[in-house]
Amino acid sequence: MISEKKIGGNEIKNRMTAITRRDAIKLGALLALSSTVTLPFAKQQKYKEQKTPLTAAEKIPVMCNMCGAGCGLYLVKGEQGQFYVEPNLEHPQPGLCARAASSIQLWNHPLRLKKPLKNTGEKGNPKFQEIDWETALNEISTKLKDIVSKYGPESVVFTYHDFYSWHMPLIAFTLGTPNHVQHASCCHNAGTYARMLVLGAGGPPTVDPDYERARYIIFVGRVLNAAMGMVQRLQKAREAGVKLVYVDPRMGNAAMADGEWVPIIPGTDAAFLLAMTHVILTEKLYNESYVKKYTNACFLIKPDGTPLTEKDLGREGTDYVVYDLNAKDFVSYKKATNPALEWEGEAAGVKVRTAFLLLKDRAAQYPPEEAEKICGVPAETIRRIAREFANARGVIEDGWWTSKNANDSDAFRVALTLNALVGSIETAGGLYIKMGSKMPASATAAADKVTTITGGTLPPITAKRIDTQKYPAVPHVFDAILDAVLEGKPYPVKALFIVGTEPFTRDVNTEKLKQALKALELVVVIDVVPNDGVDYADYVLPDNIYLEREELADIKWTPHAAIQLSHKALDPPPGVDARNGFWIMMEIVRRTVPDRAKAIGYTEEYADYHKFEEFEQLISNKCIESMAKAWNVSPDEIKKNLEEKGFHIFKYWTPKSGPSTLSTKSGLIEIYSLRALDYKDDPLPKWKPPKYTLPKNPDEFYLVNGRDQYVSAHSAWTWSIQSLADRRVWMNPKDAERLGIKDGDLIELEGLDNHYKAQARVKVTNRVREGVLFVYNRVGGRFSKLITGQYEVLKEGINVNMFTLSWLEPLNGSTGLNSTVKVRRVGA
Amino acid sequence: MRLAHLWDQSKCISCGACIAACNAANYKSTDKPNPTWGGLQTNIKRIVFDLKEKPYFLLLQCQHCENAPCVAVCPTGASYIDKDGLVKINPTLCIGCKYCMTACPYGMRWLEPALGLPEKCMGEECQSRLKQGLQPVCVTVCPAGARAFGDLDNPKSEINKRLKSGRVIRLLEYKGTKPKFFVVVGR
Amino acid sequence: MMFQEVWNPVVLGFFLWFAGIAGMGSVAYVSMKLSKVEEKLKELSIVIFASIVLALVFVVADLSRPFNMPFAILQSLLSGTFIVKIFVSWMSFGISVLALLLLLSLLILLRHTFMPGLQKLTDQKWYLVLTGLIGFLVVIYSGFLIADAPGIPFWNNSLIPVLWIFSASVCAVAILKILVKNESITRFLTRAGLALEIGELVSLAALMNVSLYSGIEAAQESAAELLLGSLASAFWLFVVIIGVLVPLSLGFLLLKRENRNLALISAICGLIGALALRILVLWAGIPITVTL
Repeated sequence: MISEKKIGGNEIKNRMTAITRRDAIKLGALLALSSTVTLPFAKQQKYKEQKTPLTAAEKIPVMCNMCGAGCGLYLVKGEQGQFYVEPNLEHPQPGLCARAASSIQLWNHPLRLKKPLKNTGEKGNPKFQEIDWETALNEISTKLKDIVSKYGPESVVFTYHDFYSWHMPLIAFTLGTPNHVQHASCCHNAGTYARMLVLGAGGPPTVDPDYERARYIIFVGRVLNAAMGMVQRLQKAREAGVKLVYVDPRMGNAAMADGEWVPIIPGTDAAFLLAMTHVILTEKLYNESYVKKYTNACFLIKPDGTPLTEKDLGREGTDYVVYDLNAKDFVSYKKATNPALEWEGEAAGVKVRTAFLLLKDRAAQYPPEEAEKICGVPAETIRRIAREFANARGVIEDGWWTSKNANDSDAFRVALTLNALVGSIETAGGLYIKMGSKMPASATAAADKVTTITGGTLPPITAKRIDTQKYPAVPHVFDAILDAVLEGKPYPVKALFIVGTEPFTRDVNTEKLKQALKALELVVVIDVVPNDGVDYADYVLPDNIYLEREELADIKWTPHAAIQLSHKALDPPPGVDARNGFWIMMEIVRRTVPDRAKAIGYTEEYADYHKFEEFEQLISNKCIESMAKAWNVSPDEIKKNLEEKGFHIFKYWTPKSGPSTLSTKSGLIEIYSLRALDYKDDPLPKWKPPKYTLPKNPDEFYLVNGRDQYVSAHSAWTWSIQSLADRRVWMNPKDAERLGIKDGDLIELEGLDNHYKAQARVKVTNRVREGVLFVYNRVGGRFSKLITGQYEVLKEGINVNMFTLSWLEPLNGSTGLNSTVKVRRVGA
Repeated sequence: MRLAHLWDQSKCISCGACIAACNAANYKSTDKPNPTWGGLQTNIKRIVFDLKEKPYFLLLQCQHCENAPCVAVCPTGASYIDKDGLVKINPTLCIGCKYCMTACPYGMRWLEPALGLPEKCMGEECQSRLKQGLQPVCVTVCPAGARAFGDLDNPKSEINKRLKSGRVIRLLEYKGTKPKFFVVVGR
Repeated sequence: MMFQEVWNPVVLGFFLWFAGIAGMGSVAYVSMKLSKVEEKLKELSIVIFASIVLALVFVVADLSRPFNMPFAILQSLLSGTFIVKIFVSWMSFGISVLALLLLLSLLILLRHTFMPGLQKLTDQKWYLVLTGLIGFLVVIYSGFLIADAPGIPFWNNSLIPVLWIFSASVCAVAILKILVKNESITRFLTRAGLALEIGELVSLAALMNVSLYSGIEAAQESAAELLLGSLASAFWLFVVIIGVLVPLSLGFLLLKRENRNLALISAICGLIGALALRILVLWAGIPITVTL
């Protein structure tokens, strides 16, 4: 058979000589004939290489909220009136990934919560009744009033994730409770604690690699899952030949591209990184001048662990001192010209040694051969990576979702220390410290009063947050709230608002969570889709998605100081009476404590849902005015950029030779953390084994809880994501062979610590190391009664959090979402 | 004019943006399952090779072959190669015999349930985007710079630049389809 | 999803079977007419016409856009594309020869039933030769259609059209055996049938063997499924034993002495086997796994 194609004269000759399978009948004339016959339907399409953008009116700038990254997008309209998203390439943090691309599927999801629901059945075995908004808000506030009068407003807790996180203080403080508890202990508290100790920085967006200029990047337990702006910036580095290294028990999606995967035993990252530290220190691969200038490595540490000060030497002043090799004396660290890095001797009657020497001693406990026994990575690999990293002046990513084994903060302390040793903090291709946009808080609770962005004032809140009483270093530890619910200590908790978050796929110790939810007198879920929490709620209120509301926000995952405005693009689909969560919560607060609401400017008129837009506008204007003043820019210019482009940049970050003064106690990068001493924590990092029972027998495994660019509590509901994500348990082929398990087989997993049992199918893959199983977080193992139809696939697989107990780090409450299980083949 | 796609496997992080975006732009974000491939109604399929020594994945879509078997076997000419080099479907001529589907060695056609058409890349929205001088949706949304699209006959086109600077292969070349989907496997 | 699910194996299996019967049946009709054998020609013409009609019913049943078919073919004819495609696509070729055979066999049927006057046309030598040729081309097409679908490696071999010819011929012989009682014809049919069955057996063995050992992976998998896997019981029972070995053994017996009952069993088994062969070959098709 001849294939039909348009061909010119010369090609006819070539076709004749090339005998293909299809040249059964050579009819030269027909070749010519076939080429003329296509003309009737050859559409005259001109393809122009240069891009002519769609008109501005057709592209609406939005901030994606399908996960917490907040990437810059445009919502565009296609030829058939269909909406879809494109990246906003001028935005400092453009998108996008499959989650963003699935936005419309979330918008018109058949299982989207449509009307307020009241649970007339039991928690865990619900029976839902649709009620109208007035009834819902009034019933909730009546119950809340009762609870507040009996137990005080502090007995009310708001738990949330990214939605309305900026608004939460305003909502909670107006009600009078200090307890707005985010997801952080199940997310980033380990990394945040490390950033605080070493750099005086805060949450994950405050520090991040300078992806554009990076030469060598080590990702520890991270897979370029989010934000996509990082991946966009990485393009430049990839052109220049950046090497990417992924240290992870599992090969994430990104590691299947160019890069090296280092399979590591779960919970041993700190040992790996300390071994790297040992190599770099002993082989003198560190940047000596940088370490001397920008870190506190030269501080002299006394036997009690505290640093030597001028006061200790009987001098004037309180500065920390170093040994200056030029002056041959102890000099304040602010004035020394040539501080000694490795020095020990007598001072103030005690033996002192530099912090650097102490670090060296600590790292010497982890030579690569020893580390290999702990982490399973060959010693030669550790050496090679340490040398490559140092020689390239590489960067180790500082961690975002770090709640893996309840021992992770040490790993990230070492990571930051390693970055400091090679001079990769605030330098080109190292870690940047983000420039804040100076966006004001929605409300501040000071010792003497509460002030709000609306210009209101309230008497101070006397009750202290529950979580920081148990975990003082880093807030947002929800497990402490559950304890308070069940134990009544430090004081009772009786009401819980679950706002745009999903505790069953977020938190540890599912049994405790269930008990606590049952024990609470009032549970209100505000969400878009029926995440499992709805089955344990008294009331379920349908929320907007990001396309349906306007939101002013800091741009998180960019080094620059910038804000973005997500425009309201759509109304909820017909039949979905979902409303702005901010309005929902303010209305509940107003109906519960009307005087307090009035005091901050939120009055009855805003019960009208459309009038509420004015309240939002008022707040937005106040924020813009505040930032305009702080940056000395005209508010109109800011508003113009937000309107037209969707973002405004106040200041650009540029690489420097090192950081300026940090918020650490010394103002320097603290490789020897003084803040840790305040918390009575070890000022140097070390490796501790995880808290779960380790696997010993041939049928016992680590169960790793992880993500790729599909996973978030809301995107998991879309059909796009369910078609991309995998609800199976990943198992290494050698383990599978040993246990007689084939790809697709059904297995039963039993938690070694809590004996929870569940079944799932197996995927046999080389993407996970031996002895380790891997499951995607959030995409399977759901149970809500409201899940029906084709979305019942969400019930397949396991909810990997259900195999955990309350494994938390002290001080920062970082949880262990990994666990260990015993496996048994059930069938084919 | 010979329009062609390029996909850089060494850069692709498998975020799925292109797969989901194709569904959103060309198939109105439908959640109706894909009857042929299972899963999503989209023109791009992702296949993971889990058991290779270093696992890898492929993103597949219509290769817009210059010697397209699906065009050859179509009884009515509904499947044709357009002036711009893209393999297209003319629905008025399609009888739904599905020969093009068994003819495609890449398996890149799927039966759209509402109209019974053997759908594939390029969807209607992408074709309309090309008319306006824009890129297909999969290229626009890729965050990793792992995609390119352009005219092979234009020496200055983006795709020609990328073809010169990487190690590039094509899939199933032995089938003689002359595919215009280039896979970059390394520098 | 291992096996191809684009073409429904049962629906199109019946299509191919009826097309084969109509096609080789026409060849048989023509051979008999040209050899001046007038027995049971009316019954044969009914079988041929019924088969072509049923074939068309089954093939249209698998279309995903059946209501657009008349319009699409018409438009394609008017623009001339369809004519060109006849030489390019086995599908167009097939539509054309099936349509022609429908017409040709309709006229023959009418000649034998309601409009005997038509024999002036249909008894002409050129008409008969044309009918025989078109019938043969229908069977050729039914084989090459499958073989030239490059997406399914198991089908991409030269044996499928050959196997189809043998198997369809076995069907034609079987039908004649059922209809015809004449002794000498019956003896001829037994010998012809035996030769055809041996040809079919060898082609079948070659198809399986070559696919299993030299085919690309997807073809190997298909052959393995038929010989040893999920389709093995159906394949061995219906295609090999009932379809070939039983008629073959009975054929040898019938060579020695004709027996009407054994002939009937042999014929029915041959027909069942041919249907099963087509259904299972379609079923077993596995698409290529694209790799780097």
